[in-house]
Amino acid sequence: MGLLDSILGRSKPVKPDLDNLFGLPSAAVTLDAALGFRPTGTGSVAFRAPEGRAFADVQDEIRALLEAGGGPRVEASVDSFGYTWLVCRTEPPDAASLVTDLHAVNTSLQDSGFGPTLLCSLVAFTDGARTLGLVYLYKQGTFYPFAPADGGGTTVEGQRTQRRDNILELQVRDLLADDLRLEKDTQRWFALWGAPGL
Amino acid sequence: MAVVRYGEDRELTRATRRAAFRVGGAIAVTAVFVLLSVALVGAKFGLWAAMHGGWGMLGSGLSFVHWWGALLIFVVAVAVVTRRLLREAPEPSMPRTAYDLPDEHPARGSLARLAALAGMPEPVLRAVPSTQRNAFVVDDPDLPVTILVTEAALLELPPAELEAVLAHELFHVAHGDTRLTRRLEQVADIAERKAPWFASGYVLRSVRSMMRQRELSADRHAAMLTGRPSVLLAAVQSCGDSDGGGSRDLREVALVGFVATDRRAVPSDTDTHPTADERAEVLARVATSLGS
Repeated sequence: MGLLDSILGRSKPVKPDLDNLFGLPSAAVTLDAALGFRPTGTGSVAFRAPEGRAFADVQDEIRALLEAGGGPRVEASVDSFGYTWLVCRTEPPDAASLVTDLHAVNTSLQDSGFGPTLLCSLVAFTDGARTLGLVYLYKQGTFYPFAPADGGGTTVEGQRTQRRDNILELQVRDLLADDLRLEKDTQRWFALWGAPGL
Repeated sequence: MAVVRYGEDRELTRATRRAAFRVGGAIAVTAVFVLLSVALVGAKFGLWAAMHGGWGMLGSGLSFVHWWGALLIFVVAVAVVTRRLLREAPEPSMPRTAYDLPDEHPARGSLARLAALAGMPEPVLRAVPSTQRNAFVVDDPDLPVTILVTEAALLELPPAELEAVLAHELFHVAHGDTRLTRRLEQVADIAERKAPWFASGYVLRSVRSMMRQRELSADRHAAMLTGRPSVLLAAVQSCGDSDGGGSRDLREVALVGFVATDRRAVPSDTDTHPTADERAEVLARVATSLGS
């Protein structure tokens, strides 16, 4: 966006970039080989559901579309920030079919004109003890790792404190540099505490 | 099927162009004004030369000035006017009482998601003590772009409304409003002082009209990004109801607040913010375009 465009308010909506999502299966292989992280079989798509009837229709449409085509079953939930998450599960866990499912959800949202409302996709991995999410940012077309860890304490409200396993995140970043386009700006690696599907 | 469109904001483009023409006109007129005063001094000198040295001295003086001299005077006049107009705004604009929010504050998560949704770099979020529910953008050349939220807004607004306020400020950042409005305010201020017979409130009014348009544009884009025009309107109303007004600290950044810091009972041409009704009008159009 040029200076003149920004001053004149000609900001275009940012189109999501869906193609890079398909780099995920090869990244899953690398993750398994190097760190022992395997996909848990759950993946989720987060988007901003606009208020109004039109969007409720689209949501029903997506669910019907996916279920009719023998596609993935999705569960919808809304997080505390007001974003809607559609969670897909594959059994047995398989990165390739999960990516296909997520892509199906994305394309039906995009085809209905809700591409600009897509926030991120999340694919969960685990090595038995730790969890790791690979987050795909639609607007950047890049991935970043998110590794929640127990902070080892409790907050005033009695909840466990939250901390990110930064070492693991950076390890994963360096490991997957050849497989995926990773987000270089770590400022954009926002935390997804308690994200559905993680 | 409803399609989310941010599109081009024609009203904003028009208002900006109109303000640019008027301010450009003000610069030109001010330059002519300066030139006239230079010419008057020149004429005075010519008169003096004619009285003391006779026509010969005046003749040689004029041939020296000739065209190159005239050009030089003009260039100097334009340079003087431009320098006056583009002088840096008084610094610093970051209130000294502003402080950082902890990492795990929900407002920061909210802002990070909005920035990712809009495909923009995330601005820094800081809090500032004030009893008015409001938010501002600080665009200091030496600092990262910062969104300031008042303590009252952080404590009293429900999370959804706070998010709407943040989205509004995010689009002020995207539209470059802070620097532009401060600059134009300055130009208007100088034009009013240098050429009052020409400007007579006219430049200030056109700048303020553009500022109001930019507020509406930020509202429009924010409502589209969050998909919740009704929540944004609720935030406008609940911020508009809170009082406390401009503390000294916030005066520098108050121009692009979420709501005006000093409210007037009667809407006027020189308001910095549109009325709640005008904002409701725009948000209703967004709601229609979202299909609700």
